[in-house]
Amino acid sequence: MKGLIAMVAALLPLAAAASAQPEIRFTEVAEASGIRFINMYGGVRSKDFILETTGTGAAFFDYDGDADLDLFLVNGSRLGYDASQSLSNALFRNEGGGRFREVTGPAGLESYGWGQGAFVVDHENDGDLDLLVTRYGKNLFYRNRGDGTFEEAGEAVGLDDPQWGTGAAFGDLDRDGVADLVVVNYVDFRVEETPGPGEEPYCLFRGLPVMCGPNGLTPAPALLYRGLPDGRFARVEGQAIGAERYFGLGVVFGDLDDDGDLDVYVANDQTPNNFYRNDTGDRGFDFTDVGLAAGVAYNEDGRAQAGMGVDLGDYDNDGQLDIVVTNFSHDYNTIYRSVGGGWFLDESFAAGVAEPSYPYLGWGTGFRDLDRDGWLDLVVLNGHVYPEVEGGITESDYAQRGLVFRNRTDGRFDEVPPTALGVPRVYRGAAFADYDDDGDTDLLATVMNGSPALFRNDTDTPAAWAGFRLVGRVSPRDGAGTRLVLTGDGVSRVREARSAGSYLASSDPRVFFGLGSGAGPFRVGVRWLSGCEQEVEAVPGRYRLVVEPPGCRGPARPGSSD
Amino acid sequence: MTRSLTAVLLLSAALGFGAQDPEALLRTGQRWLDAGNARAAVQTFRRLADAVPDSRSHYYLGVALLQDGQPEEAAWALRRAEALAETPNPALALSLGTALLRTGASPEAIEVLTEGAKRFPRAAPILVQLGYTHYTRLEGELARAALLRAREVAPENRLAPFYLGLTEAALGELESATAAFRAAVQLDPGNPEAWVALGRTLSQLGRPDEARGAYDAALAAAPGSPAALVGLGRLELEAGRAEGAVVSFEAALAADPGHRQALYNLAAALSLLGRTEEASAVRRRFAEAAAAGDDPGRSLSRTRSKGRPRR
Repeated sequence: MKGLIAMVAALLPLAAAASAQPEIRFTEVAEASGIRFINMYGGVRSKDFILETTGTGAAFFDYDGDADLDLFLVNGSRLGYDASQSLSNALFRNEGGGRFREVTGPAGLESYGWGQGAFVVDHENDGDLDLLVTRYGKNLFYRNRGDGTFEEAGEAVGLDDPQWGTGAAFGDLDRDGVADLVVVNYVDFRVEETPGPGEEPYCLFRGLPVMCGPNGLTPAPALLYRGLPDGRFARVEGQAIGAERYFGLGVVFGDLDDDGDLDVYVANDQTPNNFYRNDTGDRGFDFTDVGLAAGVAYNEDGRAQAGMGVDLGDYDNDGQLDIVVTNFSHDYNTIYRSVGGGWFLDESFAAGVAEPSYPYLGWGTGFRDLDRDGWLDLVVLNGHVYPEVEGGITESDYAQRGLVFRNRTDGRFDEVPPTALGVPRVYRGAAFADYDDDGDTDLLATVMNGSPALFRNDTDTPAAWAGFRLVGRVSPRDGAGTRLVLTGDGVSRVREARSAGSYLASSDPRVFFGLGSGAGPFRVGVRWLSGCEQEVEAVPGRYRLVVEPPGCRGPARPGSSD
Repeated sequence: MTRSLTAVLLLSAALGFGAQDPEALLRTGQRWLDAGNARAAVQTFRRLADAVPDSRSHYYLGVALLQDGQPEEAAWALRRAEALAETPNPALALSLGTALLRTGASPEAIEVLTEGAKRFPRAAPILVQLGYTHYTRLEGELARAALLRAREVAPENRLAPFYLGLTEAALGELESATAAFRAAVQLDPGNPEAWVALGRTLSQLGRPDEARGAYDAALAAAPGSPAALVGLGRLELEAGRAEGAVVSFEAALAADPGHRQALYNLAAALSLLGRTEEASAVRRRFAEAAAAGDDPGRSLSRTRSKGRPRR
């Protein structure tokens, strides 16, 4: 009898995990963690130009190779300010125990200007992570010297484009083992050529004179770069990427058609989104914009929305990547569900994410398994672009709360209390990472003209988890783009290693699986971009290091000539 | 005969208006309006306003100009009528607000209608127009307040629940929108736009069977309604019945060959069926329609994708 009681007692936690979902809970700990940073970005109470509205992002990355995630925060400026009046970007070293210490100066990352996003790559495959900072003005590329310091090498490597760079993503698009790059630009913008608030019909919001654009201004082309083995990047022209101009903000790489290479998806403001299908082969880059054909350029009404942030993830666990795009207020955030054959349907309402999003202007977003039940939940950060709306003149608020959606596991999401994300702020970027290595996904939110918020995931769940840190040998060393399929206990879960995404942000490059109440064992199939496939066992409660086997190549690896 | 009427007749004679007196001009103009000939009504009321430049003549001139699609001139005439009026007039406030809205001067329209609603708190048409004007400006809370008040003072008003439904939908309150649209179709079962809007919100709420009923009712009210057919097609598409969806979208396009939503979704349905060449051809038509039209994605005020009533 005692044995039976003991067995029942042992099973109780699992039964509880299966029947009662834990409350997804965040606690804001930025200040307590040592992150003291003030963002400066355009006017506080009014904005005269669109330049002042996009805000800045952040990157989690292990700059010093000590296996925990450090944090880089991008800063902006104000119109008419020079460097002496502006505030610098900042690097915070992860000291362990959930604590950070600022090391900007010693690391050589002090910089001023209209920064936008931060994007991470190991461009020389030397094990040191490098950093691209997109800006209004010349983009900066910080080469990691491997000793905890960086040198700015944008011009030397060919990445000092002077346009208004916003989103970017690194990834091995031609599968030659070297990371390539896409930078999207927003507006071909010059203050002196842009009308002031209210001066044109497109410079009004509900009768209020506000900054103009992007409608009425000139969009800017995206840039495609091929990574060269010597560490430089070469602009590639004549491709679909960059052929047309859009108001580009968010870009993410992923194998959207499951053919073994990385496709490119771009969220554009007020212009159709792009799905650049990658057909690169022996003759070099080959991209086709199939956004319209695939059903991911417009919403269900065939109308372009105002895309800001973007993420990919298999939220319905059918083995195919789906897409989430955040949009303007009084419109809805869009979920494009993959229905097979390379086609997608706008299922935003069916998924339950559209209706709650109407009052909010969305930016950073991510599909993440916040409660470790094996299903991707969804986070959206919000904040308006017009400070002028504050004060009751219109019903919109400038500072807005975040949205947290729990995956119901039936293709729908439930909006759940956002806990600490319920504090209204003028949010912009969202970088996701398990910065404290406790086996759940935390979130760093950038705040325009304010301090960032670090939302520690304090969800109390007995569910297990398993993580993977990837090191490529034939594929790029940082493992970006590698696809993992976890199987066991009758379930199958697909995840991809991805850093860039959300909005102007780079997240934890490690791959995370919530294991729910499953007892395992779980096997994980790993498909590297080289085509190499291997299988490993998941180790619950740990980030397992997975190294691409030497000399392992897949059958369909194209040549790298361009 | 009063001195003023004598003066009018003398003036009319001098201007060559023959024996037609002001009252006859007024009746003639009203008959033109009733007959739907706004252009003739404008001409008649111009003669009346020239002959008797008072508030009434300018009011009718303004109404005729509004119906004739000349909102700027209408606003001028109605402003003149307002200035000449001895006492405030709810019909004048309503017409002036409407004219101002159509000229794009929505802040001024709001001002006029708000003032009208204060003076005539039980004038439901003013409240409805005020609510609609707020709705066009994406001022959902203000629109909701005005339209709820309109429903309170005039439960039989057919437009108030319809616009209230649109407002609730624009605020993302789909359950409230559904309730309002249900009230709209109860009051006006022959309103296909209200049935389509009801079908849309029900579909968005994940109630496809009820949505289908609403779209069917829309088609009963307006056979061949492209919006209703597109709604039915979307239900088929979401249920994984691409062939049925194609039938609905093609029927919508038979009625309106440039219907963008139908083109967009037809291409998706054809793709799902593997009819890629046909899908490509339809996408080309969609791209042409998108290029020719005013893409709401290019305008903040129109990012909301739901249909708005034509005024």
